[in-house]
Amino acid sequence: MIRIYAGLLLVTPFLGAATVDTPKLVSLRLLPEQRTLHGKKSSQQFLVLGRYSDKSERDLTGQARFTVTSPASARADEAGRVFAVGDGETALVATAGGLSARASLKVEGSGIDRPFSFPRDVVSIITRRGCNTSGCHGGIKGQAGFKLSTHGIHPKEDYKWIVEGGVFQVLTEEAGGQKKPRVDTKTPEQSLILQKATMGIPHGGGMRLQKGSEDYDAILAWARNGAPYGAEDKASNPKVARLEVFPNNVFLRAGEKQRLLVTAFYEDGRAEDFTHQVLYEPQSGVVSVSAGGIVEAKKPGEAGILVKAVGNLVRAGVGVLADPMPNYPQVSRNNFIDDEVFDKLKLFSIVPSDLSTDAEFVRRICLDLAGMAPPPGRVREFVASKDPRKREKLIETLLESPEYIDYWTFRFADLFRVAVFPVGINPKWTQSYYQWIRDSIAANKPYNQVALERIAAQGYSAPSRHYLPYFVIPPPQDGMGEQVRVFMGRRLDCAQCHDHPYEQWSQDQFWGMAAFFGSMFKLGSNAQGVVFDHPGGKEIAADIAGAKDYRVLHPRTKQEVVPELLDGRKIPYTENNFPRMELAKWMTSHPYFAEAAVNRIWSYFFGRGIVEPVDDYRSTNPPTHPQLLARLAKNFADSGYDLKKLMRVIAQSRTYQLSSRAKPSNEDDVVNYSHALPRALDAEILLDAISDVTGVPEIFSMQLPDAPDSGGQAPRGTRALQLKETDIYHSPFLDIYGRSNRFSVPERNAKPNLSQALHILAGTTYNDKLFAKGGRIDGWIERGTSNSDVVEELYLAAFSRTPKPQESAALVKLIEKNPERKEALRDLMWAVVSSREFAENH
Amino acid sequence: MPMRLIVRMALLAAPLSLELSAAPPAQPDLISMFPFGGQQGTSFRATVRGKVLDNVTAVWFDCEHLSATTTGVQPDPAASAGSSAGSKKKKGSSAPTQLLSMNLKVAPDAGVGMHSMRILTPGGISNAISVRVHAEPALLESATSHSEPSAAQTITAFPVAISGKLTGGGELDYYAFEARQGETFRFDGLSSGTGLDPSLRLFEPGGSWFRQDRLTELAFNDDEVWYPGLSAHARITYKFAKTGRYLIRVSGFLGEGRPDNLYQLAIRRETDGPLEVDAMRPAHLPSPSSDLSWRERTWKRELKPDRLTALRARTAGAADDKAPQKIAPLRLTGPQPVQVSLPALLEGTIERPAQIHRVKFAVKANDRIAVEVETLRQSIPEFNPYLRIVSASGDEAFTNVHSTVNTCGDTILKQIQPKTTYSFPRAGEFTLEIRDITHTYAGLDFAYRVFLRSQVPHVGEVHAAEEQINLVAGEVAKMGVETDQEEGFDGQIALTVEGLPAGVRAMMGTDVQPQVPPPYNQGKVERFRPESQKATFLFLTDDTAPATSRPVEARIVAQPVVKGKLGGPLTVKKILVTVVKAGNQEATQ
Repeated sequence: MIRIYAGLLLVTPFLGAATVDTPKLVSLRLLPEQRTLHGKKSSQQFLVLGRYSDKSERDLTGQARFTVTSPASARADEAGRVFAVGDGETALVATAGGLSARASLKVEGSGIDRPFSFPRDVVSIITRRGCNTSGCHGGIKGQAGFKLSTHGIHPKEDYKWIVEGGVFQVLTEEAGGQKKPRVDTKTPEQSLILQKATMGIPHGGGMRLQKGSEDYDAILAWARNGAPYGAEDKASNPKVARLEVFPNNVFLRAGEKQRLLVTAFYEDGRAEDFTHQVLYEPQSGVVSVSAGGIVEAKKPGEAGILVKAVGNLVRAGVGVLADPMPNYPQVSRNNFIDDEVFDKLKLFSIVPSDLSTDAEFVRRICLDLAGMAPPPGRVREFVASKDPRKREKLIETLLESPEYIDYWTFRFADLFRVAVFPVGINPKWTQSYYQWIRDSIAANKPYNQVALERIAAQGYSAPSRHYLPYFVIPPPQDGMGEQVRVFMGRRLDCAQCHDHPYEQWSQDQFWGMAAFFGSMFKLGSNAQGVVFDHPGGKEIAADIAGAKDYRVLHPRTKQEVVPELLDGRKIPYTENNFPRMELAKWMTSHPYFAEAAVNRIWSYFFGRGIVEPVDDYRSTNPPTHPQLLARLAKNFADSGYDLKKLMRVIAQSRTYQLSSRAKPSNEDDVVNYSHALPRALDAEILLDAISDVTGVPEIFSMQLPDAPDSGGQAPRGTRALQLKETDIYHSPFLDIYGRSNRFSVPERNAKPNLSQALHILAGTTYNDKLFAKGGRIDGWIERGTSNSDVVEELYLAAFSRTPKPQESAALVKLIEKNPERKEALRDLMWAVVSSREFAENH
Repeated sequence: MPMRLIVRMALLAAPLSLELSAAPPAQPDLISMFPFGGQQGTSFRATVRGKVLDNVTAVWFDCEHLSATTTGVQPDPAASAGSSAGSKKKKGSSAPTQLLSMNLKVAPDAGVGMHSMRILTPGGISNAISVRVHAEPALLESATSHSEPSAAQTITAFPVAISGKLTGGGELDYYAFEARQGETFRFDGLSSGTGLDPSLRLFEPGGSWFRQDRLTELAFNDDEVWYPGLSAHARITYKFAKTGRYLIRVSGFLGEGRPDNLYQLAIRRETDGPLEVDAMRPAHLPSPSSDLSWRERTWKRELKPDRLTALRARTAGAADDKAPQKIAPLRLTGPQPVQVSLPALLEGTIERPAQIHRVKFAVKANDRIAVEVETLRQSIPEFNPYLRIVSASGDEAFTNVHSTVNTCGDTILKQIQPKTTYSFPRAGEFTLEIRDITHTYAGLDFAYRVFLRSQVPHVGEVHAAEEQINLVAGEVAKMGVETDQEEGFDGQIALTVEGLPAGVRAMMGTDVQPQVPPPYNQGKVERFRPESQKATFLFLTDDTAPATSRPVEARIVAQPVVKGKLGGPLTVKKILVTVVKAGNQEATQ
């Protein structure tokens, strides 16, 4: 059974499929409904789609029979592919399940060979055979001296490397090395491109062509004809503007099949069937795909299929469903987040976990909104409260707390890279930059305004400090790359050296964007550092040798690059304009901006983004919940880019408030938010938590152990997440647990490591706090707290829950067994703060 | 103008009969004083930390309204910590630190601001340390710890200047006070200049859901603008939205804590007087018309209508009778160029981002002009005036941006300059554009004055590093002097020292100058830097020269010489000189 959906409306009928009778076929249609075939060897693949009584639509191509009303014009094969025979009009009739459908067909120029085109007739074969993938000859350096453009995006260059030979070099159009052609027009069969591909001579890429195959013969014929490039004019050799795949998203059950239909749209508006001219690459073992585009579902899960043609790429998504679950429970919903998440869970027959307990919730929400666990008294109070709105009220309290400001300043200080070294080796600048973030958080400044101030920062302003790592303005490509990554969630970096292999980003677009940062300069000495953009993009005071225009040159063409937005709009420098400000306005109003922002914030609450990694949006890395992402983004933009409102809607959702205790149907789920996934506390949060539970504050000193007086110390009582210039404080704990050095956009690694294990056993952080005077243990002893009360308070402080009776009894017994009570309490404390339950947010 | 004697001596009861030795005694070295200031019309006890503080014969102030008597010297318990702020490595620097107790008296009419204090010993006169005189009542931090909010020292009366120390790493000092709704307070965290960079935070002790004692930060305003030459004192001006108890916290900027990390926390309300005053301003500045105040290339020197007259006073020869004595300023407001003739004094305000003011002027071939810029309110790094002179065809002739190459030869550096000179190779009409170098910043504070004129060759600034010099009888000491020759001044500069103590002569000498490798590429340095010459004064002190009982204020005087004509004397520097005895000689009073 196959279901095709293009959004919620088509999904909805399917959701009830398990509970209704087997649907009946009610109508049939052919896709495309009409098509004109141009030229002698033209063909068109058709899909047969059946509409059922449950309003779903399924692929019946494999079960249909095909006839053509006028055989003089066309013929159809059993798979639904129609070939041109003679000029004229005809119709294709498909029959299945007792119903039939027609598609009209026109054939033109059936006696005319279309003009030869190297990109269409040779590069398409190379692409389909996988020769120009980034892992093969399409890599930056090519393979074995043979370089092709990735997916044939530069066919003219490919032609040169094949016909003239040469060794590709990255930042120049000139070939290096010995020029050895890969095609031999005098003895075409001896052409290297054929010899290698057929393993006539050893080939690291293995067999790519069979001798005598259609593709082999095509290349051989081309070589025999003198290896021409063919027509270059747009009229006879138009460029493919885009690819479309149908369906672009589909749900199947294991064992079911779906044929894909790929259509290329040329610049002149003409469409052509590419179903049999592309390379299909499934991204996981959930499905397999035949060379002709038939998808077979293998096991439950989700998969993407990359469809690659010359210079183009498109992705189809496939969800393979488990068997429908009878009596799928009704789950209450708090807001639109739950609608999106729970609909998908139902589709995959995954039951969400129960609502978290109050104890679970209070610890989780405190850690996620304020970066610290609740004190024992607040846990007792919250759990005991009968107020049905107590969760909402707690969320509001936390959003307005000073701890919220601390925590989200820390988060954005991480993202915006506040540290002494990356912001100019000057603690004053660092603190100024930090304070700008803190003030922005405290005022709940609209996030688009924050972004605009950072992207377009000039002068001696606080946000401009991040443009002066090591006192020097970063290269334009670096400055641009970071801003786009942080605020649009895209990594354009690949396009720096070549057109992006998986995306539509071209090298020209990359440098067009980089050019917005090409006029930046630092005025004054290292200690001064006023950031400005050369007015007009022109050098001022070009009084010295080596002075240059502050414009960006394309590394390959060596031509000046005019600042150009990704949408193609150029913003040339004029005397008085400020292109970087125009870029900032464009970026912060672009849909990417809101999507990237909500996805990042979402990841802080769930441990993963709807797109993950959060700053790596690609067509090949799609969102798990596209509709949810879109609705969150719209909600965020409509709210005026209000971060608190965004966090509130996330925190109020039932999805966020689900328990971390898994159910049998969701225990393997890590991407659909069916239950809360335990998340390791970040280094700073964990250290603060240990300090809170032990009652021993951490001292952050710039002084290395055993070194002479080397500097200051963070104000006493400073929490780890309040450190401004985190990199200047010596802390083995923070290093071991993965604090970011903020030298680049931080990517924290939450995976445990051996050093952490050793530190727990013998590290100074744990031991010093256990043995420090005046901590929580001393307090218990001074107050004469009973052992059972000790256990309860410790559990509340560390886990935000009371111990189970058996836990309490066992622990009290352990304490009593030790004649040294203080020693026993230390052991207990150590066991608690080194536990996973403590070190994770769950 | 004869220099006013501003030395106030307080002779001490200490015996003047000194321990004799073959070598001259080491010079005294002051590190810090706590408290480092006091209220007008009061006396207070202070402890000076330093080296070689024995046998103080006098305490010297830059003002007759301050005086002091010492009451004893003792070893410093924290002897290993601290260092001499800003003093060169010199004899006596390895000596142990000591504590000198003294009573200071501030006369009611003592000027508010930063004064300097030195001591005199048989080793000579010490370096200077700062003494801040303030109008506010003084208060010392409490002896008990107030490093926790709960133990904050309560302040009840305003205005007030509280003196405190931050001696330990990460130390915090909390002060609590009451404020009423709508009241505006001003807080100044001032450093004595001995290593502490104070930082202020204002809190409301409202508690939070997590902690009842949690403070809510209301304001943080350490001197976020850290720029060479700008004051590093912390300031907060805050209007309280509600009546209540608040906390102000003083800490080291990076949590630094050392024996000499001293601060004054000045607190005053709007009702106590103007809030926006420079609490760190010097109490004494040379008269603006004095040679001592002459500055060629600072953004804040005044470009007054009589600027040309002042420049001519720094040269010699026939006066240009045709040149105007005063030039009326021309106000620029819009982007349309205004035609002017040289000299032209221009005023304007860059009120909107990327706004450009323009004037047109004509020059003849080989005309040599100077363009000077003054920032009237905001200055660099906030307001960065960028001046560009373009030809009628739009080509850039020159700017006030100095481009150089760093010593590694791989990076171009640029710096805007308050003065630029240029020689036009060809006649023509040119446009001067004035703007801020950014596209973003502007405002009513972005006010400038630009003086566009022909060059006037003249004596520029004269630099002598030493503030004081202790001469030893029978020995020769040297002092380097550097003279700037501005705008092609090609005459000579006569240098003399006046007012030396008896038995001391100053002679011009030569000295070996250290070999300095040529800079990599200084660009068009001639447009932005004057020619300069180095000279060396040799101070010859007779064997029989009597030791001085008080420092003598000597003056370095420069006189331009042009084509055999001697210009007027310019007193360019004042230095304090003492004569000390070496060997088995007894000090004289």
